[in-house]
Formats: sequence, structure tokens, C-alpha cells
Amino acid sequence: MSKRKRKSNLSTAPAANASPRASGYRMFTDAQLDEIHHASLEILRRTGVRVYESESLELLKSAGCFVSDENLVKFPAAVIENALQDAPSRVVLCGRDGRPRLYLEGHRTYFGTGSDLPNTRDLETGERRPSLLTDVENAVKLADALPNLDFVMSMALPSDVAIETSDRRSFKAMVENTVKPLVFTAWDEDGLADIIKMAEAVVGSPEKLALNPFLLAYLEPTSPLQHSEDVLRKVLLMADHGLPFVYSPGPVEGASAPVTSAGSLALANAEIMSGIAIAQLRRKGTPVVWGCGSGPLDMKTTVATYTSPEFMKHCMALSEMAHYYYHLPVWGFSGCSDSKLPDMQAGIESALWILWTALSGANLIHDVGYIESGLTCSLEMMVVSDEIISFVKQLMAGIQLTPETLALHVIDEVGPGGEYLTSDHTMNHYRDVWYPRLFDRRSYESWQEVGEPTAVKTARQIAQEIIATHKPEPISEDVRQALQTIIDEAAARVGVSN
Amino acid sequence: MNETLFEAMKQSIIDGEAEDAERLANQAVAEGVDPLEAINKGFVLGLDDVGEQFGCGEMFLPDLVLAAEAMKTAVAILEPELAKKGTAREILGTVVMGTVEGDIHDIGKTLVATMLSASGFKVYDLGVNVAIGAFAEKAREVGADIVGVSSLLTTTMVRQRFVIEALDDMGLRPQVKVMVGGAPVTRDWVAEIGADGYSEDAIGAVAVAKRLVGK
Ligand code: B1M
Repeated sequence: MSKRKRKSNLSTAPAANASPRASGYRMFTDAQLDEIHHASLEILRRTGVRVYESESLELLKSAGCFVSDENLVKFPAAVIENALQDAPSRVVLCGRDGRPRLYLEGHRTYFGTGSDLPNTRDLETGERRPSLLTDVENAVKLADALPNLDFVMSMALPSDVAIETSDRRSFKAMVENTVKPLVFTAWDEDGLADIIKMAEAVVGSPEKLALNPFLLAYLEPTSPLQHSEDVLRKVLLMADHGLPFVYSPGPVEGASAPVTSAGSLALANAEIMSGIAIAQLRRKGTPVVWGCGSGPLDMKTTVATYTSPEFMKHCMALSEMAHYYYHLPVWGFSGCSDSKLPDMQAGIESALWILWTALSGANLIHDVGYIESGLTCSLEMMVVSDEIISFVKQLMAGIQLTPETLALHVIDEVGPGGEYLTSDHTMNHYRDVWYPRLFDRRSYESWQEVGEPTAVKTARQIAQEIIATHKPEPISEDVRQALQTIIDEAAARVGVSN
Repeated sequence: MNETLFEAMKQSIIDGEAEDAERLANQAVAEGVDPLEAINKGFVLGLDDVGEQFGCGEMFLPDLVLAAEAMKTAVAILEPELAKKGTAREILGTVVMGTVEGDIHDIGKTLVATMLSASGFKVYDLGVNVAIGAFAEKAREVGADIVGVSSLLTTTMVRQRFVIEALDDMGLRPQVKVMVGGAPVTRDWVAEIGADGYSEDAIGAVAVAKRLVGK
């Protein structure tokens, strides 16, 4: 026994560093990808998009687009195809410590939380209440500690600070509570400019930030076929700084897009590529991520659903377009639910999403922990989903085939009718097997003895414990001061106090 | 004898058959049926039925939209007849609607506007990103009974208060009622800004609007 080596701890994410492969699942053939691309180009040629921002209009005009009715832009295919050539095939996101962490390329998948939830399900009382700034801090701290979340968003939208500057405050709370890369939203161009300044203060200079970005902006055009002034000002600002963003429309099928997935896909794709073209025309090589969140309007309840086979298929299709057609990084959705509670529905929806999106090979997969169709934050569901992600990573790792894992020598040694429990081979490899931290595998009696835990109860305990004890890598006092000064100046500018 | 005709009218709305509704409206005109009765005892009952079925999950939103379209077709034929008789279909009220400045979410707002107009309100939909002052100006211009302000963002929800203040400044309150809605809006917020009503969905919005105009 003594000569057998023990590994230090149970590995719950053996696949994290494995070189990722395409899952082999494909929804569309190459010819069908062509068809979607051509459909999108036809939308841009025939129908056009509304561009409500003057500098973008100028860029498009000089590139050869046709502008009529003030801001209706129609695209020759070449303008789009040339501009897409300029977008880089990969984006690397670092931590605020400068360490590269996410390689958004090929089929490398990374999971993270979502942003801007007006409600939070209180961990102590279980009650749904308006989100607070401490909810942002707690959700970010929890995401920092959960081993299978790779990037972090704000989750909560604080109601206890002045809303005008809440984007800056949330960003500071994010920087303070995690070293993982950040995906963020800003209310407007001013908010975005302040957040960029804050990020520069964190890493030391604009150059360092552009070279080792630890943040990515979440920007959205408006379906059908509109780029608002607001969003384009943000696109131009990100491009000017050489900083990455995802351009992700949210067509609600049957309301702001065709109810059929194919039509909605062609529409969304046209919106994404026309926006990305503007960024490339502004500054060649602007790092971008392809994305779209498109589900049907539930025609019984009028809720914009967050989990449905249609939403999921749409994400798969979009990943295939980005991977195999445009060779650009892609955004994904996962771990979210329409359920009002962290309950069975939430668990099932989260698990289906995570497995499916992992199969799609999307790179930056967000919204883990969302319940109530994007209106409520559940810290329990962050923990549950973290467990599911670790399970799915093990699935995606496949089976290693080597002489050692085929183990013919061991099979021969043990022979017919023997046992494997005492073999060195078992001792050396049993820790390769995945173990849950949350899901219960006890016998009935021992389960009773420990108080009949359920996944949700255990998840709540884990979340509470992490929030009480986890100490994220701190930022320096100088940086903290610099961030606070930018917030204070913004507050003074817009005339708010907290 | 008109009972069968009224029943068929009601059914044409439930089925969302604009062509049937049109034919039945023309038949009513040809047979000299009182147009107001045709609307109130025939077509409107169909719309009520559809609303109820939607409320309990039996019908889907497109069914509601089709019913509303069929209703419009029938009313378009009957209204000139009413005018000839010197009467008019009583509209439930005039509503000015929009999504407030800084906010471009329009699906929910458009849905509420559609439902209100199908239910007999005259609706002026100002669209999205609507300037604070524009609500009050339009309300004065058209003599609105209700101003409806939709906001999907917490940042823009605070502007619902400014719309109320603008109406106050123009001396339009309290005769112009204010209805608000959108995902972040809560009962507490409605009380805080002194709005007159809010609803979580489009069907509820119709009930609230009816209450506000005392119908
Ligand atoms: C007058 O009387 C009344 C009475 C009832 C009224 C009423 C008025 N108005 C509405 N109602 C009520 O009746 C309607 C019908 O039943 C209902 O209307 P709803 O609009 O709620 O319902 C519709 C039928 C379906 N629902 C929807 O259409 C909204 C769905 C969600 C997913 C949503 C969408 C689709 C979009 N979005 Co945005 N979006 C979200 C939404 C999440 C959610 N679950 O609500 C929400 C609202 N968005 C949010 C955010 C943050 C943003 N969005 C943004 C953009 C967009 C898209 C453009 C992508 C798209 C809008 C497209 C469009 N053409 O409208 C950005 C802002 C843009 C801007 N300046 O307005 C951006 C800031 C994100 C960014 N990255 O920058 C969040 C708001 C948080 C908050 N409280 O402030 C959000 C809750 C999602 C989230 N958690 O992040 C009721 O609310």
C-alpha cells in the first residue's frame, strides 16, 4: 500500500485543460451554412438595416453601401465579406492580473454568469426581492470560487444605488471580487467610457489593456434590423480602444423576428454581420465575438422564453456559422431557466442547456444562474450549474485510449473470476473518475442520518459558506481609490449622490 | 332572427375569420340591422370570449391578434353606417402609449397597444425612445384619457415619474390617467410615483385601462 502514489485531491474537472475537439455533432451541412450566409446577405441587400448613428453611416457610405431614407442602409455583399476578413479569428481574455485565461478559439468552451437581473432570490430567506449591490458582490465572489465558471458577469442589477451610475459601481464590485475575466454591460457611451478608464486604471495603461484585455463588452442591436445610436456609439468606442465585444441581437421569434428558426437565424446573422462590419470599418482587426439569443415568444403567456428547443437549436446553428463559416469566436447561452425557483424545472433546463451548448463548442457561454426568464438571480442555481458543467466537461473529454487505460496487462493479471479492488491499477486511476460535490450518492440510511439533504439545500449551504469565507485576490488600495474617483466624478457629473 | 346573425358574428371573431366578419357586417347593413347592436351584441362578444380563452391558456397570442384584425374589418364597415345615423360607436377611451426615452424595448408595449385598440380604445402609439415631453404634448393634442408608459429598464423606469410631472406641469392631471408597465415596474413603484395603474401583462392592461375610464 505504501508504495502506491496518492494524488492530492479529487479532480472534478479533468477535462479543463484537455485540447478540445469538435463534438462531432453537426446540425447543418456546409451547403446549408452557405444558404444561411447567402440569405443574410440577401436581407442586407434587399431589405437593409436602419443605422441610427451618423459616424457609422459615413463609414458605410464610403465603403460602398447605399443609404436612403436618411438611415436605411443596403449592403453590397462585398462590403460585408471584406469587412469580415478583417476580424481576428481568436480573442484571448486575461485576468486582471494579466494572466491569459480564456482562449476564445476553435471549440474551447468556457462558462460564466449573466448580467442585470432586477431580482435576487435571497439566500437566507428564500424570498424574491429587488437586487442590491451586495448581491453583485456575492454573486461575483461565488463565481470567483466556483471551479467550473471561467468568466464573470454582474448577475444582479443593484436597486440600492443611483441607477444612473450603477454600471460603474457594479463594475467596481466585479473587479474587487474576482480575478476571472469580466463580461459587462454599460448603460450608455459615457458609462462605457468610464468603465474603460477604470479597466485602464486596473492594469496600468490603455496599451496593456488592449494587449491583455480582462474585459469584454456585451452589446446588442435591436431586432428586426436596427442598430440603435446607443449601441453604435459603444461599438465605435470599443473599436477605437481595440477592445473586444460580443454583438448579440435578442430577436424574440414571432414578435421581432420570424417565428421559424431558419428565418430568425438569417435575420440575426444579418444583424450581427452588419454590426461587426461597422466595427471593422472603424478599425480593422477589432476583436469581436459572434452571438445571438433568440427564442420564441411564448404565445400563451407573452413571456420571452430562456429555455426551449428552438432557442437551443438556434444557438447550435449560430455556433456552426461562427465556427465553420466565419471562423470567429462565438457566444452562447446556458444554465438558465424559465422556472421561478431553483427547482426540478430549473435543474433540468440548466442541464439540457449545458450539455447542448458544450456540444456546440460555443466559446463564451453565459447566463449560468438565471431563473425566471432573465429576471431573477439564483445563487443556488449557480452552484448546481457549476456541478453540471463539471459533469459535462467529463463527458466531453471522451475516453482516453492508451495501453495504460486499455489495461490489457491488468486484465491478464487479474484473470477470469479475479477482483480489481486491490490492484495497483485501480489505486492509480480511481481518481480519474468523476465525483460530485453536490449530488447525493449516499445509501438511504446514511442520507437520513445527515439530515436528508437535497441538491438545492446543499447548494445553498455551499453558496453561503463560500460567500462567508472566500477571499478573492485583493486589488491594491491605489487601484481601489482610482476606481472610486472615477465613480465619484461620474456621480457628480450626472448629479447623484450614492 | 337577428340572434343567429349575432351568433355568427361572434363566431367569426372567435375564429379570427376577417372575411366572414366582413360578409356578416355587409349582411347586417343590407338587412338594416342596427350597426351598434351588430357591434355590441355580435362582434364584441366574440372578442370578450377570445380574451377569456387566452386568459385561461386555451388560446394563443396569434389567435388574439387574428380576432382583433377580424374585429377591425367589421368595425370599418359598420362605422360609416353609424355616422350616417348620426351616432358613433362609443370608444372606451383615448390612449397615448410609448416606451420612454432611452429605452428601445418595444415588443411588450406594442402588444399592449394592440390589445387596447382591439378592445375598443383609440390608441396613439408613439413608438420607442419617446421624449418625456412628447407624451404630454400628444395627450393634450388628442385629448387623451390615459397615457401609457412602458419601460423595460430600471434606468428608464425612473423617467415614468417625469412623464407624470410633465402632465402635471401642463395642467393635464388628474383628468389624464397614467398607466405604467414593463418588467422592472412594481406595485411599490407605482405608488411612489403616483401612477394610476399598472399591469404585468397585456390582458391585465386592458382591465386596468377599462377601470381607469370607469368602464
Ligand atoms: C402602459 O401600460 C403598460 C402595461 C403593461 C406593460 C407595458 C405597459 N409594457 C409592458 N407591459 C407588460 O405587458 C407586456 C405584454 O404581456 C409585457 O411586456 P414585456 O416587454 O415584459 O414582454 C414582451 C412581450 C416579451 N419580452 C421582451 O420583449 C423582453 C425580453 C428581454 C429578453 C429583452 C430583449 C428582447 C431585448 N433587450 Co433587454 N431584454 C430584457 C428582457 C428579459 C425579460 N425576461 O423581460 C431585459 C428587459 N433587458 C435588459 C437589459 C439590461 C438590456 N436590454 C437591452 C437590449 C435588448 C434587445 C435590443 C436585445 C432586445 C429588445 C428588442 C426589442 N425590439 O424590443 C439593452 C438596453 C437597450 C435599450 N437602450 O433599451 C440592455 C441594457 C443590455 C445591454 N447589453 O446593453 C434587462 C433589464 C434589467 C433592468 N431592469 O434594467 C432584461 C430584464 C434582461 C436582463 N436580465 O439582462 C409586460 O411587461
